[in-house]
Amino acid sequence: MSNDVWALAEIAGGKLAGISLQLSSKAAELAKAFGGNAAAVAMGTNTQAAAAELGACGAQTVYASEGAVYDEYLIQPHAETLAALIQQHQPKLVLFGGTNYGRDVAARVAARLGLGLEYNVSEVSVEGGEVVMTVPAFGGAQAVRMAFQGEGTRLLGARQNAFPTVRSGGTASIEQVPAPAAPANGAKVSGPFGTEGAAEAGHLGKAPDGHDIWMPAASRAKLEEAQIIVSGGRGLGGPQGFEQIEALAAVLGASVGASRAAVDAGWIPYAHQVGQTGKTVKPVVYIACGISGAVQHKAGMGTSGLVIAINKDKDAPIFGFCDLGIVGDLNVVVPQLTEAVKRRKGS
Amino acid sequence: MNIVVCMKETPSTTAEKSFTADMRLERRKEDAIPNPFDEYAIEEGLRQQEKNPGSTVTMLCMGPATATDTIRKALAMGGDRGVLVTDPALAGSDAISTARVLAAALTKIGYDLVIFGNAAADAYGGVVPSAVAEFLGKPLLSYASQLGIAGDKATIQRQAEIGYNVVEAPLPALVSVVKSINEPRYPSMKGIMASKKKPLDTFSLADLGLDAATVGGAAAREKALGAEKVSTQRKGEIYVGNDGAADRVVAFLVEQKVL
Ligand SMILES: Cc1cc2nc3c(=O)[nH]c(=O)nc-3n(C[C@H](O)[C@H](O)[C@H](O)COP(=O)(O)OP(=O)(O)OC[C@H]3O[C@@H](n4cnc5c(N)ncnc54)[C@H](O)[C@@H]3O)c2cc1C
Ligand SMILES: Nc1ncnc2c1ncn2[C@@H]1O[C@H](COP(=O)(O)O)[C@@H](O)[C@H]1O
Repeated sequence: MSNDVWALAEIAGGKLAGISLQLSSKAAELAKAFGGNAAAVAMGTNTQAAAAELGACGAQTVYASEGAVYDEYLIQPHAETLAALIQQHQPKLVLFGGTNYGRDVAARVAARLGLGLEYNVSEVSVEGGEVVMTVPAFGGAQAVRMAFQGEGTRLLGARQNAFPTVRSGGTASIEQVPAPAAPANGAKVSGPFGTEGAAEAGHLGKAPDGHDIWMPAASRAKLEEAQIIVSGGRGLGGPQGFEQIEALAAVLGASVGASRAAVDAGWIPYAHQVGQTGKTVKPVVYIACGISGAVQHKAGMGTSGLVIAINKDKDAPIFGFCDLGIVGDLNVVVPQLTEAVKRRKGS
Repeated sequence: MNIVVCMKETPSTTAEKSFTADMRLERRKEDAIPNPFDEYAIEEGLRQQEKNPGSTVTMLCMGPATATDTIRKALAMGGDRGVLVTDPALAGSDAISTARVLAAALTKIGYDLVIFGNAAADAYGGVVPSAVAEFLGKPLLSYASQLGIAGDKATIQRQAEIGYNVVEAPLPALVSVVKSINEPRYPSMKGIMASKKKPLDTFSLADLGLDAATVGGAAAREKALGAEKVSTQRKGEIYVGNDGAADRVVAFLVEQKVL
């Protein structure tokens, strides 16, 4: 086995997902600690462009497998290529993202090659030539330290946003890898749908069953990559309540998040849910409006840089883990805050 | 159509949680429930049975011997029979070993359509369905927010960042579902009574022809070194009242160099 550390890049529709750069950066750091090389594996279309970005974030080698088959079929071709590469090169460790794609590929590769797989890792260190991982348990109330045992390449699935992107400015050498043939009994993708509502500005739309649902502006950063997030919960009172959240987000250049209560009520699409069963986010600033701060919500935002909470209940749990808490009515404070930020930015 | 729902027993979400001395999740019988995310899988199995007359639904669970109660809770919603895979040697199985066992059980039971939840509420691994698919050499339609069966083909809407993708696969196929797919039914009194009489088979490792060395704690590729409590409390400033609150937030963002 080599001392190399790999990152699985994620390409969707020819575009490299931000998580790939986080993984590549971490692979570079860990490869250095092991005395090996950092590499990334990129499968899909536009892999050349992806390789350049991955190289700039630490990958010394990029195994690039260009092919439409990766867009046309779910997971099976990706797992086949990656498993073959792992068998051939025997890296010490492969890093996967905390995404649907990362999970599905890692599980197939682990099953196929009989390798150890640990998911939801929030921290990694190297001790005595082995990785030691931290995995949050019980909604983040405990941190469990885990290690691998037995032989073979270790597969490590990170939590979303566990690792920062480090742009070291390198250039990766590219190794072309042929794409496999279409799988005989594959899961075939016939195309994206339901993206028509993805307008530039946030607006009230209609869900398939006819009820009102807030559709946040599609132009802003994905939650996982956002620097500032303004989130709304049940305290908004309805989908229309997101209008003021959107207005504040717009002046701050922020993305819009939500609690599960707001998502379950059908006020905003699931893609905006923050928490244990939603996204794990790590913005510089997280502004929670009308969110009580249940452990499952905290599990997704507890490691944000700064947390600001606006809630009318002084006993809301969120006041136990915020840097600035406003005990007040969001219907008054949020619009005033939007105006105050506008004034400040104008000055 | 032969429908099998894979359901895990997990501690209830409100149960006090702790680790055993050897760092396994303490599983108390009285706290055990079907994994909340598997209720959507169970419901979807039952709906597909209603839409495809002549189908059978089997609830499959790998767990401790007492998990028969958990399977009966699922059978109270509906379905025809339960299968519990249980064996002392299975304790401490990791996700890949669990998948190996479920795959062997599915092969023994026979299946056209296998439905999973997308993750279990104990560790949020979310890797078992894809690993089972690999062991069986079958397609997995994952993160389905809608499922339709037509002829020998399954088609799903796969939840995506915005909207969804349509993905299809030939049967036999595996599907994992997300919670927006349906609204699980509550078991009726009649259902609860009926569940007590439904056949429930128990398989051991030997019944599945599996070697104890390939599963359970013996084969686990990960080990826990220890755990510590994490304090995520922040002692922030609390500002009371609407008046001046917005200006305080702006001043704070300026102090913190965000604005
Ligand atoms: C297995 C499981 C997984 C879960 N996963 C998640 C998850 O991923 N993400 C998540 O968020 N939750 C999750 N939950 C749900 C979680 O337990 C809470 O139910 C949820 O977070 C509550 O949302 P909320 O804070 O918006 O609503 P509530 O708890 O109802 O809080 C609303 C708050 O708004 C305040 N309020 C009302 N009106 C105003 C006003 N005018 N001005 C200011 N404040 C006001 C109230 O004081 C209250 O504190 C999960 C639960 C389970 C069991
Ligand atoms: N022990 C088990 N018995 C039956 N099904 C399981 C078991 N473990 C996991 N599953 C299935 O796999 C899904 C994902 O579980 P996990 O990968 O553990 O998060 C669950 O929602 C179940 O459908």
